[in-house]
Amino acid sequence: MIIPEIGDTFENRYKLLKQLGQGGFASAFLAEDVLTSEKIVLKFPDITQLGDPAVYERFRRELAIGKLLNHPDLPVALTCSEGSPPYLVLKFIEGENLASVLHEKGSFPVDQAVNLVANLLDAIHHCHEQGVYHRDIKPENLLLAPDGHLKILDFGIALMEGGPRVTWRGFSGLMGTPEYMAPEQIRGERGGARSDIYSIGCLLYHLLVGNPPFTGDDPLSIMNQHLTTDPRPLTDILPKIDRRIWAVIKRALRRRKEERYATTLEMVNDLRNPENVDLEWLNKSDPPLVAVMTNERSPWLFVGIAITVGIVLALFFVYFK
Amino acid sequence: MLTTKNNSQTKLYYSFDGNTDKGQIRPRNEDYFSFFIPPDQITSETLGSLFVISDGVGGHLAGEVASAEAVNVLLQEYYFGDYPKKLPNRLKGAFAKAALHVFDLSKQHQDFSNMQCTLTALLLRQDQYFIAHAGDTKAFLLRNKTFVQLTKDHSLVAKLVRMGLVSQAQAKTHPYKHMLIRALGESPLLPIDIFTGTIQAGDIFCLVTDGILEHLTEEELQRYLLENDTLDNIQKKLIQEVNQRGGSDNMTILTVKVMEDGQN
Repeated sequence: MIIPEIGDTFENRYKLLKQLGQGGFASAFLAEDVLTSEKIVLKFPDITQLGDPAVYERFRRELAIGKLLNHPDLPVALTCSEGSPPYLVLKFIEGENLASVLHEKGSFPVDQAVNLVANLLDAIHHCHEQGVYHRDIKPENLLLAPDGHLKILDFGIALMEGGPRVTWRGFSGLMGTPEYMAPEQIRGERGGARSDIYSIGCLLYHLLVGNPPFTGDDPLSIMNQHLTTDPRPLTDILPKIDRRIWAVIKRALRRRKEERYATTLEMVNDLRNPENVDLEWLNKSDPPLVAVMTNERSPWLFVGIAITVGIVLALFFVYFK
Repeated sequence: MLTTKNNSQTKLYYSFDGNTDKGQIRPRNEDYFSFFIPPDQITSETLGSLFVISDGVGGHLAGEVASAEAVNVLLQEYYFGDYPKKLPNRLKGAFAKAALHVFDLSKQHQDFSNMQCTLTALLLRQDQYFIAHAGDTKAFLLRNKTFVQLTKDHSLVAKLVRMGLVSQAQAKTHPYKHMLIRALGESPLLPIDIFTGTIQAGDIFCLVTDGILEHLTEEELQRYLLENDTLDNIQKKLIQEVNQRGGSDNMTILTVKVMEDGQN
């Protein structure tokens, strides 16, 4: 098994030029197709995934989905190799990673942020129409291209079936921190259209403010915030911002997915036509999503409390009769 | 099965059985287990008998290297390392050495980069047991038909359940249920859990990697252990059943039964 390194050439055709990024499951390299002299991207599974037969299946499926989609802001999967190591060949898109841009720039002007997200929603709408849900929209997965659009880098995580055995480091690499993860995904659902809408709501907040709505050093704390706390109001941080934008974000960030926008089209219409935005969303409460009994509390505790209260009440009535 | 006498004071015996299988899906078995029962009475009475199980993580050969190295280093360090006499501290010291060893290997060899593993050790000495643990391999105690998990899982989903954010039902199908938040190899320093208790004749300690409970419930595992058969046969039947249900992961089960003189 060859571990890809810069300078390696695969199939006498793809020469690795530089590493573009590395996640928990894959690493991406900029490469040159020596036959056509075009730049392309080669994606290899992470070393921890080698030997797992599911890797080939994932790459095949990513290729199939890439061929299903046809939008200028979506990735184009060209082919995949099932050799050793397996890899996926993607069309190269010029641009700067949005995470790096945000790191340097902090935040975006309101008009630009709204415009970027509205165009991203168009691309995601195209995916949803094809039955493809990204499930992992975050700045690290987006490129800010010279045409002023955000380009989606890949659908690798979106395609992950089941839970490959990875550790926290893999987890961190996979997701960075779960700052854009919808509450239902935290609770174990695979995620769908409304999960993408939640992530895009987080993204718009981040573009405007300079940080996502829920942050922290500990991923578990961030998950807890998604399920139990409200983000700091946008109007407190940016007093001059149009309240209607905050209303759009608040609706996208509803903890219960059925209360969010049903489609990306609805959200993009509100962003492009703010006069239609329902300002009621500014005042609606969004109760925490914690209604489960933890495994550390026994139901007998509650039975015991009920019996004790019953005895005390009985004694009370007997005494004061 | 391996039976050994504990010590003269309490006249307890241990009957040990262990079985492992790679399952139906995984190309290799990255689980590993081993044990050491001191042949001499002095060591047995001072350091006790140690039973260790590990589940490796990492592609290529790294997972199986991590688990085997961790188990063997722990055993070697516990019995032969220069550590405090007090058993919990000795276990912690040996555990720390094993964690550092796996971490060093993962940093020194490209093929082993990112390799990690769980590690759970059961120490029996005189009438006491000690569990040292990191990861999501589980240790159970079956006593008087009561089946209790002695370890706390260091997995993302188990933590979310403990925080009250995810229900037990949601946890069973959670896509990230295998994500560990603590494992050997992740960092040079590793916090571990230590649990202690008293041994009774008739106790059955059961250590399992997550592949066993991928297809069996804890209630089913308990029912298997209560069957009227040898523990080795029970383990083999159980592994066969898990494989019939899909065998989606490597699986390993160890049992240590505590017996008094004349008991089977």
